[in-house]
Amino acid sequence: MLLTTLITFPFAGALASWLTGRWAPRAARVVALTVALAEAGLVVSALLAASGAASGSLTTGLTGIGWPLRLDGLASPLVALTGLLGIVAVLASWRVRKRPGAHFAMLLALQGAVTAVFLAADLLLFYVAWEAVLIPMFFLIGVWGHEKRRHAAMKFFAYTFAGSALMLVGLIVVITHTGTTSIAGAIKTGLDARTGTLVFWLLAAGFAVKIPVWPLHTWLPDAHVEAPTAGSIMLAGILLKMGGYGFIRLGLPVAPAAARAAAPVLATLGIIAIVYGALMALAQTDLKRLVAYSSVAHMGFVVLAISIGSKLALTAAVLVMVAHGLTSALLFLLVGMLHDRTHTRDIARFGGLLRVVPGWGTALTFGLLASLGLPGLAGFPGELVSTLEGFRAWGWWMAVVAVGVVLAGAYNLRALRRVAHGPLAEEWSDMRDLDPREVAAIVPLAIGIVVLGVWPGLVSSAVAPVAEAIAKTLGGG
Amino acid sequence: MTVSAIIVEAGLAFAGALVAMALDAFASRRAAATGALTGLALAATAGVASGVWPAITIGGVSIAASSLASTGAAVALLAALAVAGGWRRFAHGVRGGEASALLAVSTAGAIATLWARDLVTLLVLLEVVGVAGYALVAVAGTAAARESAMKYFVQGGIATGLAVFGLGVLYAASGGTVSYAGILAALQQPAFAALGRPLLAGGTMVLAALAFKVGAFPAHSWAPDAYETADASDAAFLASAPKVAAMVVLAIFVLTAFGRDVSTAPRVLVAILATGSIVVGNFGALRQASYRRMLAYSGIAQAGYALVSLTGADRGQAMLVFAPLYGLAALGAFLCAQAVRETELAWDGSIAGLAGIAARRPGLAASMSACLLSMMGLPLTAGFFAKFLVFGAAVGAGYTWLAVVGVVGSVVSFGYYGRVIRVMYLDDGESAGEAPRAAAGPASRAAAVVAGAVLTLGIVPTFAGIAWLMTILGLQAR
Repeated sequence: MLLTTLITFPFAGALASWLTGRWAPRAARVVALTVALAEAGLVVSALLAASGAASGSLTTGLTGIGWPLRLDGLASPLVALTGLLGIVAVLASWRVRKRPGAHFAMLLALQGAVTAVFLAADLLLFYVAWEAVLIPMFFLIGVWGHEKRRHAAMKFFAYTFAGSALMLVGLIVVITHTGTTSIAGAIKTGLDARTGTLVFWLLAAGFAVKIPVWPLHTWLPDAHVEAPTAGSIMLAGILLKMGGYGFIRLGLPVAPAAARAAAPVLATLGIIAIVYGALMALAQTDLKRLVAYSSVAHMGFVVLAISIGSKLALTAAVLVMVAHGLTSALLFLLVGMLHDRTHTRDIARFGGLLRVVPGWGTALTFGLLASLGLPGLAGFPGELVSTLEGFRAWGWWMAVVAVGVVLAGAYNLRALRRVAHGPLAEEWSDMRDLDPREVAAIVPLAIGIVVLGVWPGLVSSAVAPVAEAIAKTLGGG
Repeated sequence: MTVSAIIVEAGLAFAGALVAMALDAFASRRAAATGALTGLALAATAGVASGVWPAITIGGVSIAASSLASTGAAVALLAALAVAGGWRRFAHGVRGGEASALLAVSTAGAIATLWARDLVTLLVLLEVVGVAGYALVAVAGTAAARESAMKYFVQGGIATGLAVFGLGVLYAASGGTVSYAGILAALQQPAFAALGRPLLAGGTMVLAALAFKVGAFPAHSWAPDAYETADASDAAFLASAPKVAAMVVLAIFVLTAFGRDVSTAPRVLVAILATGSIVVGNFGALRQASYRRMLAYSGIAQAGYALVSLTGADRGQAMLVFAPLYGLAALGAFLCAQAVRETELAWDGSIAGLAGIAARRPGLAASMSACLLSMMGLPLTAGFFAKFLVFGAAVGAGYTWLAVVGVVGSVVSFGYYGRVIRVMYLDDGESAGEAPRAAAGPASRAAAVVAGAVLTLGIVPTFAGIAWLMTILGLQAR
């Protein structure tokens, strides 16, 4: 019942926010914030209940007709992330002027749909939720985005729909061959080698576009840059994680042999993404585009870790996903605040902002350092373990990853130097610093980044048992 | 005496047609439309009743339940919704009375084709549907409508000729039978090796004629002209009710007479037609500037998806779900065109002309979006389950490649369905108050009802299971 509420409550909240917005546009945000906070409370109580349960997971409606849902160690960190970013996204779009009711309704509906993806224990429900994410995101980008929003919205939808349509065929093949729509049941029954290969690649098409894996990533810079701040936060923070989650939850265990065979391909794509994303980020003059390309690089670590498939690597994949969720949300939030004040994102026009807006500048410094993987902050443990496990599995190819890590340092520090340090850009000398609402949006993310940095066990202890079981089916340790 | 529930439905629809004709001649258009609507509504009700209470006996005549009666009821319901939605056209428009009578005749014929189990009956009934259809396009009265009616008629004539020729071949090759069962028996005989070729050739000709009726490749070119030039309300009917029946009739023919399970040829043939329809329909639709023409091309693609289901290992179950759900969404999409035309008097029928509709008519834009997304097969709309079962049937029979063709087609379809949604919601139209407008009419309300059904049939089964959908559609859950 609790799990069902986790999904239905944001949708009910979306309806309430939309209706409120029709009569009192400014009240919609209060409704949305209340709903997001209450949803976070529900998430916490669900996580506590799951960790208190003997199996470490909560399930509902697994028998007969109904909602087959499961909250286990793999889903928990991502559901928690969704709950947190839901609040941040509402705060980030607090001042939205264009049809606020509809805007917050879309945000909350998106949150409900993503939560459903992570909780689904049924193949059909998984697909339905997966596609249900598209509609609110399409409108968030297309209606509330920046200049080229229409193009970006169409491109986002077309790419992800193309991937997920192939994924649907994969799911249908699984359902017809195993005779069940239950994820656990399908994994238990298993597939023969030939079908497994077909299924793996069909599913991988859907996941790879979402992550996104190079060269299927071209929708990402457009969508992230054109989306409004709240949309970018949800997109980078949570939606990309659906791809990695799909691989771990479904792709690997349902066709383990095919996944093993595909590992070199995935590893190569992951490594390319790490280096390519970093190089592209280094070349950007638009701060938001820089953050967008850094997402490609970070998600490359997730793909790399998935290709290894060991218990440690899969745990690291989830760690990277949560860390990137927090870090990219923080950076998009900060870039959004900067854009609100200056109406530009051109790196060349900034300089010395740390002196003008010390609060914002400190937060940016913190975010960029987290993004480059400073030890003690969230990005470090996951990417370190991915690389170490990568050495074990792929040997000296990891030298290429090391180049990517160096480049990550370069683009983050370059951005930091150009924007926060250096000569003061006179045109912004009277810029105002963070207000309490903005601080309230930043602080939980910063706390999360520090906590995950010093205590990665918080996430990894939950993920490890699930990762171990999947690693076993893959024949690894 | 036992009468099939399908015949009861067809009879009631036909009675509606006769009443409409008489009332059109001696009373008013409004009375004629009311008569047609009453007959169609009664037919739908009778179909539903026969599903809920099997084996009803009225005055010594027992009505035999049939799983196809639910398809008949769906056809009658779609036709009734088309009349209700096009009320301004049928009750007040030029030659509206004739149109409503023609519509009811076509519906009666379409329902009756579901009952046909021999080729002669089938061909006669198909002609009834066809002739009413040609007339319904021509009755719009414009030069363009007359031209496309002529095109439709000529192509229909060729299809009929082909079917009659096929009938003759089948009659000769099967040793003097025209019944489905007889043809199948001939196909199953050991002598099949000798007679197989003529039998398959004859079957192929009949199949081609039926492919014309559902608007599938390669006999599809009449559809865009007919749906664009006919009156919007008539097009809404033509694209939904008769098509649903034709899809199911095609399935019956392939499953029971064409010996789908005897030789591989029918499946291969169906797969080729399906691929052709999906490719031609989707890529054709991408290029269209006119909303209704785009819908017509997308209808060709949809006929392709319907054909995909016939490669399946199931006994036509997927088709029985797909056809009515497609018909529903298509009806809604066309009714929306009618609704826009009723309220936005300056609309030129183009997709670009729909800019800003979402701001001016949010309810109508939402209805249109729901219907289009359903045809795209997006989850939480009825079309998702339709496509899920169709592709599932193909995968189950080893036609995974055909399912891939189908989903790639669906992805392409985002190009044109998505464009409409983009134009409505994301593009800014001219500022409100410039163009002449009228109040929302019956088409808007009917479209809203259809969109509500599309969403209900999409959302509830997500949580209640596909079995619920099967029950609603009057089919036994597997």
